Amino acid sequence: MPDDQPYSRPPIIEAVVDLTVTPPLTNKELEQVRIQFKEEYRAIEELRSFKVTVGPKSVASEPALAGYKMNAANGCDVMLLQKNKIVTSRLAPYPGWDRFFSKAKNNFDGFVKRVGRREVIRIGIKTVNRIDIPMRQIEGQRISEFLRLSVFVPDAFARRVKNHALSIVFSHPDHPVDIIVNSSTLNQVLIGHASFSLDIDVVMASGIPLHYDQMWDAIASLRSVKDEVFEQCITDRVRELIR
Amino acid sequence: MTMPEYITPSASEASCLAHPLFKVLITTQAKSDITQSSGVSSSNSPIVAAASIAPVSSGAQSGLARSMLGTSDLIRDRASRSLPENKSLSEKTFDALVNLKVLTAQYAAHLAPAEQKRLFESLDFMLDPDDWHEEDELPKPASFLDFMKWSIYSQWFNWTSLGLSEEGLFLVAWRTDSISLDASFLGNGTVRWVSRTQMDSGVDVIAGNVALTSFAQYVSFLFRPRETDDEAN
Repeated sequence: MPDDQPYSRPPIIEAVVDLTVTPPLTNKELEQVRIQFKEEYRAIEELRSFKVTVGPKSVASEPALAGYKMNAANGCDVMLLQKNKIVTSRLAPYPGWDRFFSKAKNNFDGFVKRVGRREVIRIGIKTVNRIDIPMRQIEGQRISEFLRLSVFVPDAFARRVKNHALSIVFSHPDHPVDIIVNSSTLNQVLIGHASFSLDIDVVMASGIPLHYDQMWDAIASLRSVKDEVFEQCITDRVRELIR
Repeated sequence: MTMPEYITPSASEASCLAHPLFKVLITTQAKSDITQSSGVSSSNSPIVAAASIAPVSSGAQSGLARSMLGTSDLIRDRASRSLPENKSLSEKTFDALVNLKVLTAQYAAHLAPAEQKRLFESLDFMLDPDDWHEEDELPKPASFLDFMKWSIYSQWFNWTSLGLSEEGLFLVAWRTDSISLDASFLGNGTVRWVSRTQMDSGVDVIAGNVALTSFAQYVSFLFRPRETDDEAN
């Protein structure tokens, strides 16, 4: 268990640092970045954008390079490159914030080294969590026994909810960010379990420092925000399951 | 072109972008009877381009539900994606290996680090490009997912070896001094298996084709502590 991880079975399935930059990359620059990282992320998929026009008599499509999705050999580290984005993603097992943060920073440093300075106009920190609950513990229970944010359901049906889906956007009282929380019931991932997703996006779209060191300080400060939101959204019953 | 309501400006774009069904924009201009759509797809799968329009035009998913398809749409997508035909055999094998490791991420919270390490080492060995031939069938992700689900459900991680059938199904073997068990995970929630147990009177051979949960019960029964084991201990 990483030093900075309080749970032995953290429910994080994916952690993401998503940086939107301007001006966008050219195709040539996109290719240069791909080459820069191809040894580290060897499984590469090309992403194409396409525009399809359906007319009365014909259908035309115009494909174009949109970016690359690049997987490391460990299957856990992923980089997504687009003309206006560099995304560092880590699939489970989550190595802890410090290592993940370093990875994202190193990727961005390599990106800038290759294509030159870009202004970051949006920062997104996302954690995708899946909470698996044994059926015997959840049958006949209210969702609020596990999640502290849920759809209000009248008492007559509250213990009979089969599926739920919700999305909430709110601002943070102390940080200049928006927080987007999505949760829904997932199809059976494990035998004998019910699973909920709990996706937390922390988005900074204004006031981003131009100086990169300060920008990474700002990103580092968002860690406490995502952790706070997660802790606020789960109950002790979930903590028992992942501890 | 107007932005459809289901595109939410959130960080979820990041993982969504990896999902070819996700980044589809479509508008309909009723007056001119012209429909335009655009989006992002993986070039590796020609199926994707056609498929990517379908969910949007069906209007089946609201913006809310769509924005919730997080992560692991990337991961789930992996389970059904076909591998590109224009890659070398070595690249295809490597992609298949990474694909299985990506799928494992769904279950990482339920796997001890040592188990995952052992599993990955076996996958690395199994999918060694140097030992792979063009006619070999790459592993079926659905079969692997069944194996993972079953392992976590049964908590029976002490397999002896992993392999692949000619159809790309996962073959799992267990061996003890007196018992051998071979199972093929069919990728449809069932397992085909055969066991051989050395008895005083000879070898009992039993075979079956059962659901994952039933197979867990059988394995637990087959490898139960026996009186002779107790005496030996």
